[in-house]
Amino acid sequence: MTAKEMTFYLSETFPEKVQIETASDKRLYVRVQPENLREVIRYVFEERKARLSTATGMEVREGIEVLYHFSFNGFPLITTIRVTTPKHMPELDSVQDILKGAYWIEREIHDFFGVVFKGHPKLKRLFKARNVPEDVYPLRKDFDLEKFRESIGEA
Amino acid sequence: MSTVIPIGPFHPLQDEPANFLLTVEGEKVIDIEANMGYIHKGHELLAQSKTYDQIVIQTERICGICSVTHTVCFCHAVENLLGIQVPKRAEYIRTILGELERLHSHLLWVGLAGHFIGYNTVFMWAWKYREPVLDVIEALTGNRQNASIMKPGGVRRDLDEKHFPRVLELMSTLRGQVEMLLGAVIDDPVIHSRTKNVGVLTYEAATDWCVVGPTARASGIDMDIRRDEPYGAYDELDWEVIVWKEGDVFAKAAVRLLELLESIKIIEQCVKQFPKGPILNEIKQIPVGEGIGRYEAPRGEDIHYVRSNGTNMPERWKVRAPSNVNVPSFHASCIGGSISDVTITLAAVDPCYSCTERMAAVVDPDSKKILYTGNDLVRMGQEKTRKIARELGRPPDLPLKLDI
Repeated sequence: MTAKEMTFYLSETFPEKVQIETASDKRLYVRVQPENLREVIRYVFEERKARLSTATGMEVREGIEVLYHFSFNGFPLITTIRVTTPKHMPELDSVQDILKGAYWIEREIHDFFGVVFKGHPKLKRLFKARNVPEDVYPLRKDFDLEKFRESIGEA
Repeated sequence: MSTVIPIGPFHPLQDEPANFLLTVEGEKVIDIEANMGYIHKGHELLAQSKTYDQIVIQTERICGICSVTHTVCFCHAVENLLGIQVPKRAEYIRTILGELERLHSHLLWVGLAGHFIGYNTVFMWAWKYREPVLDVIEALTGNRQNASIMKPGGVRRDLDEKHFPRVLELMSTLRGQVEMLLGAVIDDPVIHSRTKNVGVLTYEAATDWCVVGPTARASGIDMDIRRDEPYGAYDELDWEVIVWKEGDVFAKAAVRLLELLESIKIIEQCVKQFPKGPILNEIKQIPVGEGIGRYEAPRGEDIHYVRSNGTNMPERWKVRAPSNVNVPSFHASCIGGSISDVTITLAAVDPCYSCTERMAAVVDPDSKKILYTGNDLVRMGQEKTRKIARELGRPPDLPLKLDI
């Protein structure tokens, strides 16, 4: 499958809900709204037989952005589904019941960005160090390393 | 009555500290839970204050084995962002080093797996064969590990072709040794009964947990980044993707052993048709944008995501090593098995971890009394092999008194 075919499938199935951003021959970036996320991911995983490689969280001006990178066995394509959630209340629907591969990565993004994945059965600390408080998110832009080290007495 | 067995944070099975809580009823595992993060080093945060060239050096320090893997994968991501091509000679250098790394990584795993099921002879052999591979890497790059030879756009240093006869010589001896090891593992009835139908990861579970690499290929998923998204010299070479359907520990071992032979084939071809030419496509400026790089690590698909804001430091750099998706598949492969099989099942995905042996114990949740220590767990695994060997009338490989 090429990026062109994938663009075609997505815009046929979700004419209103998926916005194609950039496409080269091996990489495709699409944006969806948080309410359509589960539907699109279910389609990509179950109908198009993609594999969730990983998800990336990052803070942008509009809030917290989560990118789901889907790979395809046998093709060089990676389809990235981009979704943004507001920073003051970052919430997304969990997709780990659709594909188990999202089980750890959702916990990881919750650790470092504080995104709450609604419906995740065990959204607890996975990678974040034990001395970092629950409401401190180390990969957010406002995380101050010096201040944090002072607060745990390591400065 | 159910008992909770903590494996780790420090355990001989794991090279990196990680804590697994097994809930068992009798000998049967009914639940497994993982606690990670003991060595989360904050590479991603650190990289936001480093330049692209510095990150290459930092990337090598992510893993003690995959020093080529992560650096090349990061270079792929940056090259994808820029949309540039790498000179042919540099691609061949990356391929040769990558395959040498796969050889020593798989040999290391075969040795450890042999040890966990009580075949210490396999352990001795495999590690003995691994050593010359590291010596060759040292001759080629100047270092056994962390050669610091990669760079976005190509490689930093050239390989000296005067060492190539030595590489070819090693490959031909290694082929005989691996074939012997393969025969010893594939024909041994004790290893059969010890690893067949143990820790089975079915095709459906493997798809659902999105596993990669040898773990996926042993469960019948036909995937290999070297073939799916050809990088390096792989599309010019003759080699095969090994796929087995069974999904048990035996299939995982067989896939890795057969991959060793493929790696030997790849290195021999690369060395014979090593092209001339430049080794670096110089990068002047990094534009705003994003790139994704992939690489087939010894343990599976490695993927890096880079977002650039136009400065010489990335806005965000995300690393996902293959073990990050392979380890959670324990939820599917361990539950329902027996405790003595957990050790080898956990080891079978080759979790990428630094060898520390300290603390693993079976604790009674009511009295907090230690029932079994970590060594006991390994011993239980080894004793099971010995029992099977006795039943089959085979000479046991093990000494009578184990010294672990």
